[in-house]
Amino acid sequence: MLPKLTRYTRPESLEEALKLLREPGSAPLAGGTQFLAAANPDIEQVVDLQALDWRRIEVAPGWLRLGSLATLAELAQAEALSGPAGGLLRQAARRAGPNTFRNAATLGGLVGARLPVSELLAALLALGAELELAGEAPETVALDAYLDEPRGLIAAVRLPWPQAGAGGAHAIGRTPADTPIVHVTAWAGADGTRLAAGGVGARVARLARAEQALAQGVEAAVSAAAALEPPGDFRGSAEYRRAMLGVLLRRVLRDCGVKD
Amino acid sequence: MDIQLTLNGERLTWAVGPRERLLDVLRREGCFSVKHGCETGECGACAVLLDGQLAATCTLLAAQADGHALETVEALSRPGQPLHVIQQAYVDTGAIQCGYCTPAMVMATLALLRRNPDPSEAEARDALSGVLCRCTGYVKPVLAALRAARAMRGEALPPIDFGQGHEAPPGLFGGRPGGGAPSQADEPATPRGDGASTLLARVIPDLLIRAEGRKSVGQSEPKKDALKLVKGTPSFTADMEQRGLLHGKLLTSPHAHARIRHIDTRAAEALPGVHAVITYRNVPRVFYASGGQSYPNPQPWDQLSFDTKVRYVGDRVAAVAAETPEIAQRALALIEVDYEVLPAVFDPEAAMQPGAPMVHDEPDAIGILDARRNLVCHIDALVGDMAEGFAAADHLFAREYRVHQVQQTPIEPHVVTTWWDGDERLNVLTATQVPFHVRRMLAPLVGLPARRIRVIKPRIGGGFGVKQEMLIEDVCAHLTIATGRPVKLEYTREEEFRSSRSRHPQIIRYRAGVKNDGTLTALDMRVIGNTGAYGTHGLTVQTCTGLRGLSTYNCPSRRFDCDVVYTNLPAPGAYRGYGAPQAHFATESLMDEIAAELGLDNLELRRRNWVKIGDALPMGGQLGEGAGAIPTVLSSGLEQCVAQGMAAIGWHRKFDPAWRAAPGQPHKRRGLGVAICMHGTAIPGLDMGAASVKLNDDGSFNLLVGATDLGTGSDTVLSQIAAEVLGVPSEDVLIYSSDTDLTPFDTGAYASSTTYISGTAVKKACEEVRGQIFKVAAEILKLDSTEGLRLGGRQVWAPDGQSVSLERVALHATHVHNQHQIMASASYVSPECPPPFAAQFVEVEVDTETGVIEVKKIVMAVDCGVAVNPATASGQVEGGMLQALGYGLCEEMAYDDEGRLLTTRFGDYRIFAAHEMPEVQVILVETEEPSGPFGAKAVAEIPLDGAAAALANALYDATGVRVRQIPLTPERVWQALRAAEARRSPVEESEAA
Repeated sequence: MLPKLTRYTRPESLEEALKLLREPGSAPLAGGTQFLAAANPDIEQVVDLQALDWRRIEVAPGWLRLGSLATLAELAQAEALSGPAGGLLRQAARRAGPNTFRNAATLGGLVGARLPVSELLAALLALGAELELAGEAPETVALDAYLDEPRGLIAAVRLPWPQAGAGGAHAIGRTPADTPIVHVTAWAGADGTRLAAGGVGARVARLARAEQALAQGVEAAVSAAAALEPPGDFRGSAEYRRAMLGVLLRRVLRDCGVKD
Repeated sequence: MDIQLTLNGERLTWAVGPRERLLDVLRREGCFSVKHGCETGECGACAVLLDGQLAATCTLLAAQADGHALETVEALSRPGQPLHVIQQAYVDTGAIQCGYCTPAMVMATLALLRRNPDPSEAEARDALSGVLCRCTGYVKPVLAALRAARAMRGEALPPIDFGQGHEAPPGLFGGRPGGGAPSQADEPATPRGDGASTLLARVIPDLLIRAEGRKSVGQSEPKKDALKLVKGTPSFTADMEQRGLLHGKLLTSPHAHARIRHIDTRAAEALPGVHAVITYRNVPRVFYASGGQSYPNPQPWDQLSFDTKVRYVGDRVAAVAAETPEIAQRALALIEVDYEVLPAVFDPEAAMQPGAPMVHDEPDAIGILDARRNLVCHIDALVGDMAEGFAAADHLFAREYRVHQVQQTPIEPHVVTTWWDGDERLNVLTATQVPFHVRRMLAPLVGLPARRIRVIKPRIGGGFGVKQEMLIEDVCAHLTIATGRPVKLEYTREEEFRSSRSRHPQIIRYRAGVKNDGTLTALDMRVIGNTGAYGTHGLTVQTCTGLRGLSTYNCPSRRFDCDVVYTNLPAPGAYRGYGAPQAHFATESLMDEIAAELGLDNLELRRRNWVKIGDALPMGGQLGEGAGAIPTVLSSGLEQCVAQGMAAIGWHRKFDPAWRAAPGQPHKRRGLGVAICMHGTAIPGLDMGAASVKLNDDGSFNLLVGATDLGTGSDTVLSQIAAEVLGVPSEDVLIYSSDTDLTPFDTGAYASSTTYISGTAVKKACEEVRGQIFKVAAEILKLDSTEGLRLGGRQVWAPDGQSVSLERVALHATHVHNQHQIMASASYVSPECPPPFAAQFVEVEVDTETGVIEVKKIVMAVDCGVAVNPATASGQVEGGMLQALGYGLCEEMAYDDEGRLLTTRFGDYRIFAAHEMPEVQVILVETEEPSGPFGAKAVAEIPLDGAAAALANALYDATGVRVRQIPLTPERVWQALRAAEARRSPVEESEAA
């Protein structure tokens, strides 16, 4: 139920979208998978972004640019997502949910929702993603900075491309396709190893301390990660999540070929 | 605003509201194939093709579809047109059960095959992953998708092998199979085919079955209701429109335990569009029990339509009828309730302690054993002498098992529409398993004589017990009475999770006495059953736990002792299995524990003790509503079930160390688990079914039954039984089920009773009609007697080879001479309760670092007597095992400390989806049950019984760790593994600490 929602708009241009979004009670709408399910009662106007040309997946020199309105299904099948890094992204997109979800959910919507658990967000973090934010003063921000402090309208997700390296992703769930209790993704590239995890904090996040400790070896990274204080819920307690973070860290690092 | 879209090829302009969901608009515009199952896009019943892609329409605004193309199943085959090949494949493979999610599955298949004409099984599973199904276990839908692919590629379709039946291998029947000894010779009776044509294995021991020349019974005929279900034709409660319909909505309690000091409904009543607000203040105070059970309903009668007290988060407070669901929702927010919050109790043992909060302190509830101690009832039963039994034992075992609360989650939520008809009788169209009970139970609550109530059951989108309740019919009826208008009340998924029914959590404490050779001498079962806020099925479910826990194995001394306890949790009720899955988890875990401790083979130990043909079931004489006579086992294929199951799961691998360790993965351990299951078939001396059969003047028959097909296929099975007796193809049997005005009585669809009880009633009625047909035929054929006449091929045949068609018999009887209607009715109630038997096997791979159990394969070999329709029978087992897997592994109603349910949507409450199911194999081991119609007994509930214990036993087999509580979530398993590790190396552990 969205009791206050009285206006549906579908702007044809970014300027129009931004103008509409400045109106009080406005919210952007992409695939809708979270919008209607969450049913925020304060929303008065939805600004459906589907008419914006933000769906393309393209490779430019040095960059992979993923339009924020690309669906997860499109990401999962995109040929542009090649090599080990592309494989990591495609697998994460495919595992994000059943086909109905992947067909509707968009990359920008997924990022904007800042879910506590998302293997795709973790893969993007591990691959050093940045966001192109639209607005009066368009800017590019690192994905982890956005997750800490969201702002603006996500036009695209950009990744340095191609990336040479190796990646790994592991997750634990109650069933094979369940929302993970804990998941960890690693990417060992030319500029070092990045680690990201979900289910161990309020949001999917980089494991900065574990990354730093990695210089002292895998077990040092595991110890550093153990300092996190995950939330506990019916899927798994804080204690379990903390322990599993270590187990999965070892596994993803092994997959990346990171030796102790 | 106006939106323009293309729907099934037609360009349309629709006026929609800015916040209307696409689902609601599609249904308003007549696309009834698009079903409501949830509000979060997670069940997929509402999925359509949007620009060719499968999309859930409950999470899309209608306005989002502006400019797009939609396709629904209505486009595939208009009324009167032949089915699309995909639809035909769903019908032919038996992929349709309740049919509520079938249109979405068909569209998912269409989307798949358009982009991929030759999909693999994994791709087919992924294509169906967004559509949750609670009935089929996805086995046959996946097969349907692959078969449709072949058809669309233009390939010839092989016949579908529903297990044509083969004789048992020599030595299997009557003889003793390989037992627990390892054997490489374990070969499945029927090897699995290429997945595209072989559905199941059947073992038919008794050649008489085919020698009799049965034409309909034993055939996997398509479902009688397949056409409407696969076309998405309006058939379900929510699909039936009423002019002037109002929408009902329930206000429920935010507190687990509170008294309502005051309730002010004036603002809600003043809201334009609101027609009635009902609370305890304007609804009569009449106590009842909501469980749909035979008269007189078991006590306690501790429920009211509305009370001055709420007893769980989600309990009823008030209800509103308004012009739209949205106005009703707004009105709820305007109802002011002043609660006096009371201390709540959730733990059943704490609830029995002095000083615990009293869940039922009202003085006028009827039949509570001891409200002060929150005791609903006490159940006990004794066979033999416990002291003697334990004295005779060489070993004593004492174990405690805990089982949790899970929900049935049919994809169709509870939904009911009520209205006054022209005769000012209250019509109740409802998704119920028990229409006759609903009418009888509803009458006193609404102050109408039962004759002024008509209950109609349309197609039902699954029930699994949760619709064996009069759950919301009274609320809807009160609203129609208050407004004079038709009212629809339909639960959201969140309401379904919060405010319906579930499976009883229990604490089960076993004490067992066992001799050195494994013979049981004493079994003492103590159960504490948590029935939540209301008694409803509390007595009877827990009674069944005792019956099922103490019947599978012979034992001279047996005792059952059970307290059923109130707490401030949502009341559990009937859930497929009805106390037996709880009992089986404990019993079958215990049998493995005994075997391990005594160093015996776990199957040999069971075989030594399990009941065999001719054995009495003494607990049946004490526990159960129909208790009295002591039943005897008349048929059992258990030995064969075990042999077949062992072969199918590859039991010999259990003894192969090389297999048990996963190569290259030292943290993985493999194991196999087994559980033996025995269930009942109907409640003896109580469950009654009736049927009436009428010969039409074209030679077809109307078959009216009270039996309630809730998606299981019982209409089909009953038609086949009728067709068999009447010598006609079952298309000549026009079945109509469950309408209190039109059909004879039936207790309803529960207790695994329909095929056996209602089927026997159908058989008797048809035999009576057959006699009437013979008299007319003899007259036409100028025979002196009816002796030797038989029916077949729509003809009556005389011994001398003459014949006369049924049509001519009918025309003769109605138009020519001695005119009369050939018609009969019959009822059946059984003194017997023949147990179906099954062997449940699972293969698991356990990740010892994370506690994750990966189920590789699940096999059940079931003796359900003669399978009247092997496709529907195996479908029952496949879907049942999906639910049983969820029970053992992942499904759980989780609460916070205040008793608020946390798992209120699919996703949080995880049920298996198509792309994560293990390999499922069903083997029907058919026996001939002498007391059943054409040798049939039950199959509906037994698939729920064994999986949880088999999983726990497989976990033990893999890791040596015993977990006595379900579900076996990763964390629970990990904790157990860690504790075992600590026990093994206490020194290192203390150093680490």
